[in-house]
Amino acid sequence: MADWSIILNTIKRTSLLVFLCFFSTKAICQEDILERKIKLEQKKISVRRLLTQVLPQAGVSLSYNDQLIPFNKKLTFYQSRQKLEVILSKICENADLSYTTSNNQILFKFYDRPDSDFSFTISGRVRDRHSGELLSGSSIVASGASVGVTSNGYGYFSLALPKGKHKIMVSYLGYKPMIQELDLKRDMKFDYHLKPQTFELNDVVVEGKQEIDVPVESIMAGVNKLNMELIGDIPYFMGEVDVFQGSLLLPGILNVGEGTSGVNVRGGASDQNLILLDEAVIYNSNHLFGLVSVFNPDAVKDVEIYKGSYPSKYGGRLSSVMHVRHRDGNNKELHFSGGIGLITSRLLLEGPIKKIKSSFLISARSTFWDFFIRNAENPTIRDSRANFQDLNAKFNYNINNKNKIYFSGYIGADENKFGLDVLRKWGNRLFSIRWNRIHSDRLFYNMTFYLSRYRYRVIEENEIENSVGTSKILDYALKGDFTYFFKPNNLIEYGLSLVYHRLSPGNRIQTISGINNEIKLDNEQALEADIYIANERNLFHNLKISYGIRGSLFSNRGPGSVFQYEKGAPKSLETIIDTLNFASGESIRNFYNLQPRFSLNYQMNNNSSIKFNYLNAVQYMHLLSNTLSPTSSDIWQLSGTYIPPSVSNQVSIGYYKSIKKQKVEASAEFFYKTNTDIIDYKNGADLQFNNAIEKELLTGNSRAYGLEVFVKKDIGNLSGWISYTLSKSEKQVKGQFSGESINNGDFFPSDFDRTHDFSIAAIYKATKRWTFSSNFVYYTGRPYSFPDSKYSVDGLVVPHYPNRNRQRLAPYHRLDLSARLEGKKFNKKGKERKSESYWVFSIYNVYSRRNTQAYFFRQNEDDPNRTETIRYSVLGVAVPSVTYNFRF
Amino acid sequence: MFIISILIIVISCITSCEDPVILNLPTGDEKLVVDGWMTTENKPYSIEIYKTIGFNNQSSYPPENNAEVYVTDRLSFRYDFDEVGQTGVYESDPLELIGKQGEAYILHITLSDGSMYESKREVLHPLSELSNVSSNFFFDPGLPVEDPEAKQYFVQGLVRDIPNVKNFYRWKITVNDILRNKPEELLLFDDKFTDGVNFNIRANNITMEANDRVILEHRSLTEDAYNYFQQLSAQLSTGLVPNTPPAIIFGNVRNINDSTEIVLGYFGASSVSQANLIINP
Repeated sequence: MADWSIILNTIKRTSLLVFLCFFSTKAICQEDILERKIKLEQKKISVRRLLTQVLPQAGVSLSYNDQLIPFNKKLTFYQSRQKLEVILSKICENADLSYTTSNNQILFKFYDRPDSDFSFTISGRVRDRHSGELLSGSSIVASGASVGVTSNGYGYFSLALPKGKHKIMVSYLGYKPMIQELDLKRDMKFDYHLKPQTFELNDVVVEGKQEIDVPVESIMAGVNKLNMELIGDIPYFMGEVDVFQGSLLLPGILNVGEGTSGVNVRGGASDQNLILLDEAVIYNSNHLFGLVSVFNPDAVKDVEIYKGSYPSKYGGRLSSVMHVRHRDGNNKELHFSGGIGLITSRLLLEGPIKKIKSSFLISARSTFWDFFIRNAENPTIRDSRANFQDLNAKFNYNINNKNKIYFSGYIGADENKFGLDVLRKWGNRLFSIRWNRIHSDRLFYNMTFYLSRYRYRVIEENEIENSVGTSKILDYALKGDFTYFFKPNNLIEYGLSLVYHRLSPGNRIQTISGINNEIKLDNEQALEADIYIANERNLFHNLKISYGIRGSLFSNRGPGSVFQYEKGAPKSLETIIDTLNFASGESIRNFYNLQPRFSLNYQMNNNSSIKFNYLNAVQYMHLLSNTLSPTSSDIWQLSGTYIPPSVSNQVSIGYYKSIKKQKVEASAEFFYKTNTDIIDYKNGADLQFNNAIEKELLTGNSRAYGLEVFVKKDIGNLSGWISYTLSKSEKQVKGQFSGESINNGDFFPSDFDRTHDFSIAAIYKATKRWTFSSNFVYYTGRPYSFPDSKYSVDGLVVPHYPNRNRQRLAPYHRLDLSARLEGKKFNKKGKERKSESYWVFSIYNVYSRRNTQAYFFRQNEDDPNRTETIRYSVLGVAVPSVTYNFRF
Repeated sequence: MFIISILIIVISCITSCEDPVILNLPTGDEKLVVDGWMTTENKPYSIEIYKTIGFNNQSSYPPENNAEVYVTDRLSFRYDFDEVGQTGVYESDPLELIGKQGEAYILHITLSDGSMYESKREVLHPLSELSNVSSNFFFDPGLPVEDPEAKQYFVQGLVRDIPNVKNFYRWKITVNDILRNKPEELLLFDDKFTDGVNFNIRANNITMEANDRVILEHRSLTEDAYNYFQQLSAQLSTGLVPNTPPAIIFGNVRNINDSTEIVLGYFGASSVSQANLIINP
């Protein structure tokens, strides 16, 4: 008995053991086989090849019913060794198929996959129907599934959707929206060709006509898109259509007055705007002292402005991103267009090189008054110069469906000389190559290489004083931007950029009586390397978030020398105690920064949403400009031993509403932002040809906050918008030593502080040929400093200014009107003309308002013992203008 | 000096306007002003001491009377300045004090209320030689060339810069016995780009007519004085925007016992040479 029980027990134990053994080996075997890595020779392999060759050769035994297997399906693998499990699930993906394993064998079987489990991708590009121009930022929305995506900077999109019927709506501002119904059963590719919205009098529905877009679906607050064709209709000073002047009608964007350069976004200095032309940074965006920007409106496709938060792919500036994209050129037919205006005249030629595959665009612009100046009888006038030219050339080539290459170039040249003064020349040069690749249905990338140079020269042609002074900045940049459409409503963007900055702050060659006298400040160089990754996804169907991080390294590198100053004393030539020399390539100072960004969009219902943004940005390059607005001679400065990078933190929250029926779009946004370590200047700072520039500089902080309201409405043939900003922008400069603080180190209003800023614009299409438009602006006068006493030095009366920016100029307001007359579309015989033309008549400052630009506190011309206050206005009268434009 | 664009000028000629306005300006506390200059000329030097007044106040500055004013040199020799009547103007005695090149001077002031002030040490720098002073002209862009008044004359001269030192200069120009002294007529230059060479300076910011009698004073400045005048010039230039932001222009005089007191004005020292010229048509 005892024996039996022992045996029984033994059997029980062993069977348990055997069972356990069996179970575990089975588990191990199963794990083994699915975990096995299979070597793949190609990236793209058909299911047939996998099942008949690759897997059997790798020793995997398979069992399947031929009728179930999608043999012709092609699979893409990004790694050459893949786990079997991954391969199998890819085979079963989007098919009524699943697999099991038993005894090291893979068994495929039928599986009735629910429709919602199938996911297919539609991808492609959005274009203009007539010109073939790519439309970036168009929205592609599947209404049923309530998911959507916007096309990227190159018009490309990819949208993953469940199997079944969908209504796809493709829309873009200024174009007729397109609706497509489709039954999605496989991955599909579409190129959507949208028809431009035209103004037809009888066409009562002027749907989707938008001069400036208030985005309801975009995740970020404070994003605006300007479309040149449409903002071209508002009145401009001397009829010169300009993207920057146009942007001033948006909330939160301003400049410091008429005849000044640069724009200020949400209380930031004008060097805090990242101004890009087709991905390349442009260092000076002004011609003619800011009257005209460097962007030729004929060539501009669109302008994207981010002022609240910007995607992680952008970095290097604190306040905003203004990305100007030029048109690619019509890829269907050749066109020639141009215009004659009071400031510039323009020509543009565009057309296909090889139809659909390749196109080009060349545009040029020039002032023409030099012709009169050079022929003047008066030598002082004859020797004077005030002109500019610019040239854009662009060429693109579709290598195939998936690869596209762009070449673009820009050359700008300004020249200026008054009487006996020196001749000054400056300009940007830009060259870029871009390569777009649709790597797969879901992965798109763009590689950019560019060169950007800004050079400023002072030329003294007078025989005895013959000299040439030069300063310049040159960037070599390489960047890659990747967009991965990971899942429906889940997008990953990542990329990197490498920029080598080379700065020549000053170099002057002089020949006096045969002696060569050269002064050369040391070149400065730095490497700026950035990487970023961001994810945008839906958390719930009505809550979308985007989070990302940008890591940047800025390395100020030798050769170079750095002065060492006595501690505890202000920096000056007297307090230099040593000089550190750095060899070529040696790093002088490195900065590392992580810049987190976050956005949230809560869609309350179909037509309203709330957005929240947080932005952190770092700026390593500073424009040294101790004047109210930048001048062309200002030099850029790299962060280094004594000049820290500036850092900005901004939060904004906005409410957006769009009522399609009433054609109203409205938004209200609140923002708060702080900037630290911004550059300021000591009194009387000498910024030119200074090899110890740090002794002229101070650092400070700034903060800005405000509310921006924007409402746009169309009523029949009348459309218009209102923009209002209530804001405060303050600055603080607290120096370490006496005389280095401004206003005792307290916060004070910055030059860009504008309490109220209101503008209203309206465009009315009166008849088939006449369009009228007008805009009115009103804003609080700029902060100004008033003297509280006076004294005399050597006979000169000097006003004493105890504080900076404690008073203000009078409020500014102005009304402009313009009218556009289209040329006749048909000739006398009733045939349609081949060419189009139109005239634009405009009046700037209609009611001749004398807006105060400055007060001069000075001695009376006739009686030097008396002092007086003079109000200075840039414009005292209405300025009429006319331009003529044509296209054929 | 800032770039002046013709365009803006052309536009401003046609459209811009300046008109006098009355602003209600704040009036700050009175501040002490010290304004005086020493040279190498054989004449009394004057130091003016007074208080600031409100900008809109058109009366004269309240003088600081009965102060004790003197200058000391490197060896602490003391040279007294005596008040001329009750004017707040204090003058030196040329028999006692004539500025010497290379010497350094400090101004000392004790006001009647006992508060004491002192300037920084101001070095009287040697002066580079000025030669070839002549006249030149350009045409007024606003007048036809035939107009006899279209020719705008100015003076020019060649400076032989003293090598290996930083030199700073000011020209003062008197035309027909009137010192041309508007803010835009300040003429300051340095040898930043021209150290040790002969260079030509054209005073074309001061224009005159044919047959005018001109006295050109060529003066050396210290770096501090040069920077001081540069700040004055930048702040007083009522030219077109963009402008430098206004700020307190600190001079080189301070209260010995209260470093926070703002004292305005400048005590300077210059070597001077003169050239006389009659503008030949």
